[in-house]
Amino acid sequence: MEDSLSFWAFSHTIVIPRLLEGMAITLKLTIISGVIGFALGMIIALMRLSKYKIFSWFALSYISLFRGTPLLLQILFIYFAVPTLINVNLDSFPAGILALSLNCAAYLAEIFRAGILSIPKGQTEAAKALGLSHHQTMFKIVIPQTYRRIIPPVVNEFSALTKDSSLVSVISLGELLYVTQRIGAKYLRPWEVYFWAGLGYLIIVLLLSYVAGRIERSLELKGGV
Amino acid sequence: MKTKSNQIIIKVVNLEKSFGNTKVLKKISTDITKGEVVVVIGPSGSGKSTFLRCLNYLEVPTGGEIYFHDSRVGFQKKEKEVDLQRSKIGMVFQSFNLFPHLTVLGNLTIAPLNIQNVTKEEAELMARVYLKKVGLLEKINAYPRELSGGQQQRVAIARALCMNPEVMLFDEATSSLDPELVGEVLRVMKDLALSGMTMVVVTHEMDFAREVADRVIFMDGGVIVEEGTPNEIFSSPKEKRTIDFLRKLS
Repeated sequence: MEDSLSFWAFSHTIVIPRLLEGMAITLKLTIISGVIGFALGMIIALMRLSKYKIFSWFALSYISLFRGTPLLLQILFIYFAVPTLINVNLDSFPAGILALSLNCAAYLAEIFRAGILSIPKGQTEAAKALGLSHHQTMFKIVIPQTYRRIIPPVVNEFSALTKDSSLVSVISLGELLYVTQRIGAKYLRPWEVYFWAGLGYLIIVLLLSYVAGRIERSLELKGGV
Repeated sequence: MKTKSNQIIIKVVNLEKSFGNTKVLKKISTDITKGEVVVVIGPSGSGKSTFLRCLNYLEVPTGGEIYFHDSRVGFQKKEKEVDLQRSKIGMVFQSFNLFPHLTVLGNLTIAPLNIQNVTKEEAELMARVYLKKVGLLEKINAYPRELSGGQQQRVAIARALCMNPEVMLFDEATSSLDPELVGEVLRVMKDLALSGMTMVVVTHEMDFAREVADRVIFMDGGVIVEEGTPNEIFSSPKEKRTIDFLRKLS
């Protein structure tokens, strides 16, 4: 029956409504993992820069581990292997969030570290000479100056995260790619489904770039550092 | 003339500093008394900037002791105590080091607001007082990049003063300024000296040293070669190295 539908009719009645559901899950995955990854990445970056060896060593190991193994493997490991180790059952959604945010934190940590190191030493010295503590110097002087510099690489990372979230389809989480594969197989009309899915990812990433561009411009207007 | 007490604010005893195998400071000892303006001169590489940076522990000494009043600077201290000592020692850098993401007002109030128990209004009031002193009240809402080098350095001086320091350190404060901007910064420094502020000034401006200093220290090769009143150092230097240095300048 559906075979006879035109491209537009098929897309409109069958593909798009379901892909929108998948897209909503993809968005949720990306945003939640992005936020957790951002916070965790900042902590890892500060640990990496810590004068205490144990922290910097831990951070370096963390980054090496998550950058050095495939994300697909990390997802499978967290979903299938971790539950057998600690005897808890992880649903595919939390498992997906966990894998994506742990992974993206490793990359973001290096971006943050590079940003912090790019601020001239004189800034830290001036802050310290005024009597600001190490903590205050970091959070009030150094890190705010990195915002504008790190936006482009952070947007890169978030775009990658958006697309990488498709890997979570292997643990049957109904995100955009998973839904796409399902209807593609069911109706045997791959052209339409993959076309719309691709467009879906593209829209998310373009939206992200747009928002980032706005933030970058407003920072420029404020201080221009 | 200002009155001088004998109260020692900073006491330096056998201060040593090495970077790797290079000894930059070799057993330096001196006292800075309240209200005194000490100008440190010497060829580049003589260790004068390192000496100054040791005073507020931006450089960690490798030997000897520094006392701020009666408490030792750095060494075996908790970080908090070092921060507290630094808040009472103002410092002005060669490269200004204003915080570019904050306005002039933000630069002046960030330390008082975060360290001292002052309200936003009090901090702002103080900022206005010191900005007026350095003649830049109209720039209160400007960002550092909108200011000339001389203006930035005057803001940096006001920023340090807002913490109500007991002593001010100047690390070649005019060295990176265009010649026509040096005067305005030196004028502010001179006013500050006349108001009785205790100052340790590392500089290449000999006229300033001659005019403002109570004591001139000549450093070379990591030691204090000679010290005395400006008159003693500039008119009748005793050491050969001092004579050579001063001759090269004229």
